[in-house]
Amino acid sequence: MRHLSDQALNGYADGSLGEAEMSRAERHVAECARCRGAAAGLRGLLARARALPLDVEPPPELWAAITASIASRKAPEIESRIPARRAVAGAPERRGRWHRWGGLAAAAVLLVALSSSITALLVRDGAHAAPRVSGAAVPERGGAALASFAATEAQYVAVAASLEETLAARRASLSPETAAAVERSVRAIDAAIAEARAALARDPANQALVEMLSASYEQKVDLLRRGAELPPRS
Amino acid sequence: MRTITPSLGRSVVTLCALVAASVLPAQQRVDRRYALSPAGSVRLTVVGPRSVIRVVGWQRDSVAITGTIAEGDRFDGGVLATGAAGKFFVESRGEGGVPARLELRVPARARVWVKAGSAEVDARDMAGALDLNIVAGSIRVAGRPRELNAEAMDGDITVSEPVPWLRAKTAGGAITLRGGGEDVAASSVSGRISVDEGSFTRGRFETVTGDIDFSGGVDRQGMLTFDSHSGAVVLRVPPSLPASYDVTTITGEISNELTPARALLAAERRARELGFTTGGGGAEIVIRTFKGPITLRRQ
Repeated sequence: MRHLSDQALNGYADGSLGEAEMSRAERHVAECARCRGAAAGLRGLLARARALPLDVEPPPELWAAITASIASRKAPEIESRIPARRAVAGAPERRGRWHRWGGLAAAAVLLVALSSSITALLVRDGAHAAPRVSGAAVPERGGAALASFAATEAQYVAVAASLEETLAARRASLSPETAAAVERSVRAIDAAIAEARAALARDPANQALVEMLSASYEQKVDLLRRGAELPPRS
Repeated sequence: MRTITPSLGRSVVTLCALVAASVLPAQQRVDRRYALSPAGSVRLTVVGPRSVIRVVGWQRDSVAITGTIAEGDRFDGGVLATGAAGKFFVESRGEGGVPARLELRVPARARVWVKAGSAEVDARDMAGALDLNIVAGSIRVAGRPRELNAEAMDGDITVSEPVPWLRAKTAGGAITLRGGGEDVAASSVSGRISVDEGSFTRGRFETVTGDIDFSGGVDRQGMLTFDSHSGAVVLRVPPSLPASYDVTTITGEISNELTPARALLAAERRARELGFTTGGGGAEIVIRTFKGPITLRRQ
C-alpha cells in the first residue's frame, strides 16, 4: 500500500486539500492505520497550536525576573562595594524573592528552548513514526524514538531541576499541607516517569512510550511551575 | 422530674449568647462599590489560610465587593478612574479561624481573576472570562462564562454548564465537568476527572494516576484525547457516534463494548492496540495509557 505523502497528510489534517484529493486521502486513511494515526497526531498538534493564545503578553513580573536574573550575575560585585546593604532590614527576604524569580526566569528560558525542541521532534517524527500509530506492522527505526528524545529529555530534566530548586527555596513559606501535597504529586509523576523510562529502555523504538514520557515530564514541569508560583503562606 | 422555668430558660439563653459573643472573634465589614465598564476586569487576591469567595455576574455597570474579614485582616483596592479595571487585595491572618467571606459582584461580561490559598470559590452567572486559582478547597462554576481557567493544587473543580474554552487543572483534586465545550482541557495528577455530559469539539483529558470517566459526545470533526499513566479510563459514548478510535496501552487491558473489534498485541512493540470506526467515521478519539485499564462502553 502506498502511504500518503507528508504534504497530503498535512493537507488532510488541516482540511486544505482539494475536493478530489481529500476524497482520495479519506479513502486511504479509512483503510490505513498508519496514516490514520499520523493524521490524528497532526490534528492533535494543530489543535494544540490553535489552543495557544493569539497574543502572549508577558506578565510584568517576568521582566522584573529577567532583569533580576541578569542583575544577579553582578550581585557579588555590587554587594562587595556596599556591604552595609546586607544589614538592611528585610534584605534576606528581598534576596529570596530575587532568587525565586531568578529561578523562574531561568526555567522560563529553558522552557522556551524545550518548547522548540518538542515542536521540532513532533514535526520531524510526527507524520510517520509518531503519535497515534495503530496497527501491528509499523516499521519504526530501531531505537530512533529513544535517541531523538534524549536531547529533549535532558532539557525537561534541566527545567524540572531549576524549578525544583526554586520550590525548595520557597518551601518554608508554604503551609506544610501545601508543601506535602506538591511533593506527593511530584513523587507520583516521578514514579510514572521511571516506569515509562524503563519500558522505553526495553523497547526503544516505541514512539507511544516517548509520548507518554513527554506527557509525564510536561505534567511535572507544570506542577513544579505552579508550586513555585504559589503565594506565601498558602 | 425537674422542670425548667421560663426565667431560668431566659437566663441560660442570655448566658449562652454572652459566652458566644466572647469567643467569636471580632470581624470587620467590607463594602466597596465602584463603576466598572461592562467588559472591564477585576482582580481579587486573598492571601491567608482560609477564605470563602463568591463571584456573581450581574447586569450592572459596577463592581461591588462585600463581606466580612477578621479584625486585623487587611483589605485594600479600588477601580481605575477610567472604570476599565479594578484590583482588590485581602491579607488574612486567619486569627481565631475566621475565614474571609467575600462576595464580588461584577458586570456579567467582565473578566475576573481570583487568586487565593485555601478557599471555597463559587462563581455563577458570568458570561465573560474567569481565571480562578486556589491551592486547596474547591472551585465551583455555574453559568456560562466564555472562558474559564481554573487551577487548584489540591482542591476540587466542578463546572456545571457548557463553557466554550475551558482549562481545568489540579494535582490531587477531582475535576467534574458537565455540559461540554468547544475547546476543553482538564489535567490532574491523582485527581479523578469525570465528564458527565455534553458534547465537545476538542477535548483533552489527562491524569497520571487519577481515573478518567467520560460520558458524552464529540462533534463530527472534533477530537478527544485521553491520557493516563495508571488511571483507569472509561469512555461512554453512543455506539453510532461518527468517530474513529485509536486506543493504546502498554501493559493495561482494553475492553471494548462498542464493536466486536478486539485489541491486538502489536507485533513489533510491547503494546496493546485497538483501532476501529463507528458511524462512518468523523471525529478522532485517541486513548492512551501506560498501565491503566481502558473500557469503551455504550452510552
